[in-house]
Amino acid sequence: MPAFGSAYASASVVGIPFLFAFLGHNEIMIASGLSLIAGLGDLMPPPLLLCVLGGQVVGEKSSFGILKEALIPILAAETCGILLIAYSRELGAFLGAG
Amino acid sequence: MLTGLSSVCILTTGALVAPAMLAFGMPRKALAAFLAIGGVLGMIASTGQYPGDDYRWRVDMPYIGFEKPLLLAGRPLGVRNGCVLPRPLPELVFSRTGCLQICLRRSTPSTGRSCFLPLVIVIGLMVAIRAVPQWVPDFGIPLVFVIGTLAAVGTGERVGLGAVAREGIRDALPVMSILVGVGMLVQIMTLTGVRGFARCQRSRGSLGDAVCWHWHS
Repeated sequence: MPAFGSAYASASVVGIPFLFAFLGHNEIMIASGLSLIAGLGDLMPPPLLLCVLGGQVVGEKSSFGILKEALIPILAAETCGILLIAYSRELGAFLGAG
Repeated sequence: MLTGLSSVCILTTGALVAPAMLAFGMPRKALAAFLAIGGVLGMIASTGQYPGDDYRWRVDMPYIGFEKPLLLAGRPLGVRNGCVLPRPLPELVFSRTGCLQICLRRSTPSTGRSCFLPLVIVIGLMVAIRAVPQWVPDFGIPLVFVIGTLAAVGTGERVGLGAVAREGIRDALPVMSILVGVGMLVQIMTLTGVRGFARCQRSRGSLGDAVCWHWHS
Protein backbone atom coordinates (compact mmCIF):
# COMPACT_ATOMS: atom_id res chain seq x y z
CA MET A 1 0.00 0.00 0.00
CA PRO A 2 2.59 2.65 0.90
CA ALA A 3 4.25 2.11 -2.50
CA PHE A 4 1.70 4.51 -4.00
CA GLY A 5 3.73 7.37 -2.57
CA SER A 6 0.83 9.12 -0.89
CA ALA A 7 -1.44 8.40 2.05
CA TYR A 8 -4.43 9.62 0.06
CA ALA A 9 -3.60 7.42 -2.93
CA SER A 10 -2.96 4.38 -0.71
CA ALA A 11 -6.21 4.87 1.21
CA SER A 12 -8.33 5.63 -1.86
CA VAL A 13 -6.98 3.17 -4.40
CA VAL A 14 -6.01 0.09 -2.41
CA GLY A 15 -7.44 0.73 1.06
CA ILE A 16 -11.11 0.69 0.08
CA PRO A 17 -11.01 -2.71 -1.72
CA PHE A 18 -9.05 -4.09 1.24
CA LEU A 19 -11.70 -2.80 3.62
CA PHE A 20 -14.44 -4.41 1.51
CA ALA A 21 -12.46 -7.66 1.45
CA PHE A 22 -12.42 -7.70 5.26
CA LEU A 23 -16.14 -6.97 5.71
CA GLY A 24 -17.49 -9.18 8.44
CA HIS A 25 -14.47 -8.67 10.64
CA ASN A 26 -14.23 -5.67 12.96
CA GLU A 27 -14.26 -2.90 10.31
CA ILE A 28 -13.22 -0.15 12.71
CA MET A 29 -10.06 -2.01 13.65
CA ILE A 30 -9.41 -3.01 10.03
CA ALA A 31 -9.81 0.60 8.85
CA SER A 32 -7.54 1.77 11.67
CA GLY A 33 -4.82 -0.70 10.68
CA LEU A 34 -5.20 0.24 7.03
CA SER A 35 -5.03 3.93 7.97
CA LEU A 36 -1.75 3.38 9.77
CA ILE A 37 -0.25 1.51 6.81
CA ALA A 38 -1.66 3.97 4.24
CA GLY A 39 -0.27 6.93 6.20
CA LEU A 40 3.25 5.63 5.58
CA GLY A 41 2.66 6.28 1.89
CA ASP A 42 3.56 9.94 2.45
CA LEU A 43 7.12 8.84 3.27
CA MET A 44 7.64 6.64 0.25
CA PRO A 45 9.19 7.27 -3.17
CA PRO A 46 8.74 8.56 -5.77
CA PRO A 47 7.42 11.76 -4.12
CA LEU A 48 9.05 11.20 -0.68
CA LEU A 49 6.80 14.04 0.39
CA LEU A 50 7.42 14.07 4.13
CA CYS A 51 11.11 13.30 3.72
CA VAL A 52 11.42 16.31 1.39
CA LEU A 53 9.51 18.52 3.81
CA GLY A 54 11.46 17.27 6.84
CA GLY A 55 14.69 17.84 4.93
CA GLN A 56 13.55 21.33 3.96
CA VAL A 57 12.84 22.23 7.59
CA VAL A 58 16.23 21.04 8.90
CA GLY A 59 18.31 21.88 5.81
CA GLU A 60 19.08 18.31 4.70
CA LYS A 61 19.02 17.61 0.97
CA SER A 62 19.30 13.80 0.87
CA SER A 63 15.68 12.65 0.97
CA PHE A 64 16.63 9.00 0.53
CA GLY A 65 19.06 9.33 3.45
CA ILE A 66 16.16 10.55 5.58
CA LEU A 67 14.02 7.63 4.40
CA LYS A 68 16.83 5.22 5.33
CA GLU A 69 17.02 6.78 8.79
CA ALA A 70 13.25 6.35 9.20
CA LEU A 71 13.26 2.72 8.06
CA ILE A 72 12.97 1.09 11.51
CA PRO A 73 10.04 3.26 12.68
CA ILE A 74 8.36 2.60 9.32
CA LEU A 75 8.73 -1.16 9.80
CA ALA A 76 7.44 -0.84 13.37
CA ALA A 77 4.36 1.07 12.17
CA GLU A 78 3.81 -1.42 9.35
CA THR A 79 3.98 -4.33 11.82
CA CYS A 80 1.61 -2.54 14.18
CA GLY A 81 -0.89 -1.99 11.33
CA ILE A 82 -0.72 -5.63 10.27
CA LEU A 83 -1.25 -6.76 13.87
CA LEU A 84 -4.31 -4.49 14.13
CA ILE A 85 -5.75 -6.15 11.04
CA ALA A 86 -4.78 -9.71 12.01
CA TYR A 87 -6.17 -9.46 15.55
CA SER A 88 -9.02 -7.06 14.73
CA ARG A 89 -11.71 -9.07 16.50
CA GLU A 90 -9.74 -9.62 19.73
CA LEU A 91 -8.41 -6.05 19.91
CA GLY A 92 -11.82 -4.63 18.99
CA ALA A 93 -13.47 -6.57 21.78
CA PHE A 94 -10.74 -5.46 24.20
CA LEU A 95 -11.14 -1.77 23.25
CA GLY A 96 -14.90 -1.89 22.85
CA ALA A 97 -14.60 -0.56 19.29
CA GLY A 98 -16.82 -1.61 16.43
CA MET B 1 -0.54 16.26 16.50
CA LEU B 2 -2.18 19.68 16.61
CA THR B 3 -2.90 20.11 12.93
CA GLY B 4 -3.74 16.53 11.98
CA LEU B 5 -2.20 16.82 8.51
CA SER B 6 1.24 15.36 8.06
CA SER B 7 2.79 17.98 5.76
CA VAL B 8 1.28 20.91 7.66
CA CYS B 9 2.42 19.31 10.91
CA ILE B 10 6.04 19.31 9.74
CA LEU B 11 5.94 22.85 8.38
CA THR B 12 4.34 24.30 11.52
CA THR B 13 5.18 22.25 14.62
CA GLY B 14 8.29 20.80 12.98
CA ALA B 15 9.62 24.25 12.18
CA LEU B 16 9.17 25.17 15.85
CA VAL B 17 10.90 22.04 17.15
CA ALA B 18 13.73 21.76 14.62
CA PRO B 19 15.92 24.70 15.74
CA ALA B 20 15.88 23.54 19.36
CA MET B 21 16.72 19.94 18.42
CA LEU B 22 19.51 21.10 16.11
CA ALA B 23 20.84 23.24 18.96
CA PHE B 24 20.94 20.10 21.11
CA GLY B 25 23.19 18.53 18.50
CA MET B 26 20.78 16.08 16.91
CA PRO B 27 21.97 14.94 13.46
CA ARG B 28 20.01 16.55 10.61
CA LYS B 29 18.99 13.28 8.95
CA ALA B 30 17.73 11.76 12.20
CA LEU B 31 15.83 14.95 13.00
CA ALA B 32 14.20 15.03 9.54
CA ALA B 33 13.20 11.36 9.93
CA PHE B 34 11.88 12.11 13.42
CA LEU B 35 9.72 14.94 12.04
CA ALA B 36 8.51 12.86 9.07
CA ILE B 37 7.43 9.92 11.25
CA GLY B 38 5.91 12.35 13.75
CA GLY B 39 3.92 13.89 10.90
CA VAL B 40 2.53 10.51 9.84
CA LEU B 41 1.57 9.53 13.39
CA GLY B 42 0.12 12.99 13.96
CA MET B 43 -2.09 12.51 10.94
CA ILE B 44 -3.17 9.02 12.07
CA ALA B 45 -3.76 9.49 15.78
CA SER B 46 -4.88 13.11 16.03
CA THR B 47 -8.35 14.55 16.18
CA GLY B 48 -8.40 14.72 12.36
CA GLN B 49 -7.82 11.01 11.61
CA TYR B 50 -7.68 11.85 7.96
CA PRO B 51 -7.29 8.35 6.40
CA GLY B 52 -9.95 6.96 8.76
CA ASP B 53 -12.33 9.67 7.59
CA ASP B 54 -11.42 8.88 3.99
CA TYR B 55 -12.55 5.27 4.48
CA ARG B 56 -15.73 6.46 6.14
CA TRP B 57 -16.62 8.78 3.27
CA ARG B 58 -15.72 6.44 0.46
CA VAL B 59 -17.30 3.30 1.90
CA ASP B 60 -20.29 5.49 2.81
CA MET B 61 -20.78 3.83 6.17
CA PRO B 62 -21.28 5.75 9.41
CA TYR B 63 -18.19 4.28 11.05
CA ILE B 64 -17.38 5.91 14.39
CA GLY B 65 -14.93 5.08 17.12
CA PHE B 66 -11.55 5.30 15.40
CA GLU B 67 -10.09 7.19 18.36
CA LYS B 68 -9.20 4.27 20.63
CA PRO B 69 -7.67 1.92 18.02
CA LEU B 70 -5.70 4.74 16.39
CA LEU B 71 -4.47 5.97 19.76
CA LEU B 72 -3.45 2.40 20.61
CA ALA B 73 -1.57 2.18 17.33
CA GLY B 74 -0.16 5.69 17.15
CA ARG B 75 0.88 6.76 20.65
CA PRO B 76 3.26 3.88 21.52
CA LEU B 77 4.90 4.31 18.12
CA GLY B 78 5.19 8.04 18.77
CA VAL B 79 6.77 7.46 22.17
CA ARG B 80 9.14 4.91 20.67
CA ASN B 81 10.00 7.34 17.89
CA GLY B 82 10.66 10.09 20.41
CA CYS B 83 12.92 7.88 22.52
CA VAL B 84 14.96 6.14 19.82
CA LEU B 85 15.49 8.54 16.91
CA PRO B 86 16.95 11.53 18.81
CA ARG B 87 19.89 9.39 19.90
CA PRO B 88 22.31 11.89 21.43
CA LEU B 89 19.54 14.05 22.87
CA PRO B 90 19.23 12.68 26.45
CA GLU B 91 22.95 13.07 27.12
CA LEU B 92 22.85 16.63 25.77
CA VAL B 93 19.72 17.61 27.67
CA PHE B 94 21.12 16.39 30.96
CA SER B 95 24.64 17.65 30.34
CA ARG B 96 26.08 20.94 31.56
CA THR B 97 24.91 22.79 28.45
CA GLY B 98 21.42 21.51 28.98
CA CYS B 99 18.00 22.47 27.79
CA LEU B 100 17.56 25.65 29.82
CA GLN B 101 20.97 27.04 28.91
CA ILE B 102 20.46 26.48 25.18
CA CYS B 103 16.98 27.96 25.27
CA LEU B 104 18.18 31.02 27.19
CA ARG B 105 21.07 31.54 24.78
CA ARG B 106 18.69 31.36 21.80
CA SER B 107 15.95 33.54 23.26
CA THR B 108 15.52 37.13 22.15
CA PRO B 109 15.07 39.37 25.17
CA SER B 110 13.80 42.26 23.04
CA THR B 111 10.49 40.50 22.30
CA GLY B 112 9.78 39.38 25.86
CA ARG B 113 6.87 37.20 26.81
CA SER B 114 4.59 38.72 24.18
CA CYS B 115 6.20 36.47 21.53
CA PHE B 116 4.25 33.55 23.03
CA LEU B 117 0.91 35.33 22.46
CA PRO B 118 0.20 33.86 18.97
CA LEU B 119 0.83 30.34 20.29
CA VAL B 120 -1.47 30.98 23.24
CA ILE B 121 -4.17 32.35 20.91
CA VAL B 122 -3.96 29.36 18.52
CA ILE B 123 -4.03 26.73 21.28
CA GLY B 124 -6.69 28.69 23.20
CA LEU B 125 -8.96 28.88 20.15
CA MET B 126 -8.48 25.17 19.38
CA VAL B 127 -9.40 24.24 22.95
CA ALA B 128 -12.29 26.73 23.13
CA ILE B 129 -13.86 25.43 19.89
CA ARG B 130 -14.05 21.95 21.41
CA ALA B 131 -14.68 22.87 25.05
CA VAL B 132 -17.37 25.55 24.65
CA PRO B 133 -18.82 25.10 21.14
CA GLN B 134 -21.98 27.01 22.11
CA TRP B 135 -19.91 30.20 22.56
CA VAL B 136 -17.04 29.72 20.10
CA PRO B 137 -18.16 28.45 16.68
CA ASP B 138 -15.91 26.11 14.72
CA PHE B 139 -14.54 28.45 12.04
CA GLY B 140 -11.93 25.96 10.81
CA ILE B 141 -8.29 25.28 11.55
CA PRO B 142 -6.94 27.47 8.69
CA LEU B 143 -8.64 30.57 10.08
CA VAL B 144 -7.28 29.77 13.55
CA PHE B 145 -3.75 29.80 12.12
CA VAL B 146 -4.47 33.01 10.16
CA ILE B 147 -5.54 34.70 13.41
CA GLY B 148 -2.38 33.40 15.11
CA THR B 149 -0.27 34.73 12.23
CA LEU B 150 -1.91 38.15 12.41
CA ALA B 151 -1.21 38.21 16.14
CA ALA B 152 2.44 37.35 15.44
CA VAL B 153 2.85 40.44 13.23
CA GLY B 154 2.57 42.74 16.20
CA THR B 155 4.23 40.70 18.92
CA GLY B 156 7.39 39.09 17.54
CA GLU B 157 10.44 40.56 15.87
CA ARG B 158 9.67 42.88 12.97
CA VAL B 159 9.64 41.11 9.61
CA GLY B 160 8.96 42.29 6.07
CA LEU B 161 5.70 40.57 5.16
CA GLY B 162 6.36 40.83 1.41
CA ALA B 163 9.80 39.23 1.69
CA VAL B 164 8.52 36.48 3.99
CA ALA B 165 5.60 35.75 1.63
CA ARG B 166 7.97 35.58 -1.38
CA GLU B 167 10.32 33.23 0.50
CA GLY B 168 7.38 31.10 1.63
CA ILE B 169 6.04 30.71 -1.91
CA ARG B 170 9.53 29.89 -3.20
CA ASP B 171 9.92 27.16 -0.54
CA ALA B 172 6.40 25.81 -1.02
CA LEU B 173 6.37 25.59 -4.83
CA PRO B 174 8.43 22.35 -5.10
CA VAL B 175 6.16 20.69 -2.54
CA MET B 176 3.06 21.95 -4.33
CA SER B 177 4.33 20.49 -7.60
CA ILE B 178 4.81 17.12 -5.85
CA LEU B 179 1.26 17.30 -4.50
CA VAL B 180 -0.12 18.12 -7.96
CA GLY B 181 1.76 15.10 -9.36
CA VAL B 182 0.40 12.84 -6.62
CA GLY B 183 -3.11 14.19 -7.22
CA MET B 184 -2.82 13.37 -10.92
CA LEU B 185 -1.58 9.87 -10.05
CA VAL B 186 -4.59 9.32 -7.79
CA GLN B 187 -7.00 10.55 -10.44
CA ILE B 188 -5.44 8.22 -13.02
CA MET B 189 -5.44 5.25 -10.62
CA THR B 190 -9.06 5.81 -9.57
CA LEU B 191 -10.10 6.48 -13.19
CA THR B 192 -11.89 9.64 -12.10
CA GLY B 193 -12.02 11.20 -15.54
CA VAL B 194 -12.53 7.92 -17.36
CA ARG B 195 -15.58 7.05 -15.27
CA GLY B 196 -17.26 10.30 -16.28
CA PHE B 197 -16.33 9.69 -19.92
CA ALA B 198 -17.68 6.13 -19.82
CA ARG B 199 -20.94 7.28 -18.24
CA CYS B 200 -21.28 9.96 -20.90
CA GLN B 201 -20.70 7.40 -23.66
CA ARG B 202 -23.11 4.91 -22.10
CA SER B 203 -25.90 7.43 -21.97
CA ARG B 204 -24.98 8.65 -25.47
CA GLY B 205 -24.81 12.13 -24.07
CA SER B 206 -22.51 14.95 -24.99
CA LEU B 207 -19.63 16.33 -22.99
CA GLY B 208 -21.96 19.10 -21.85
CA ASP B 209 -24.37 16.50 -20.43
CA ALA B 210 -21.52 14.86 -18.58
CA VAL B 211 -20.44 18.19 -17.10
CA CYS B 212 -24.03 18.93 -16.05
CA TRP B 213 -24.35 15.46 -14.51
CA HIS B 214 -21.08 15.89 -12.61
CA TRP B 215 -22.17 19.36 -11.43
CA HIS B 216 -25.55 18.14 -10.15
CA SER B 217 -24.34 14.87 -8.60
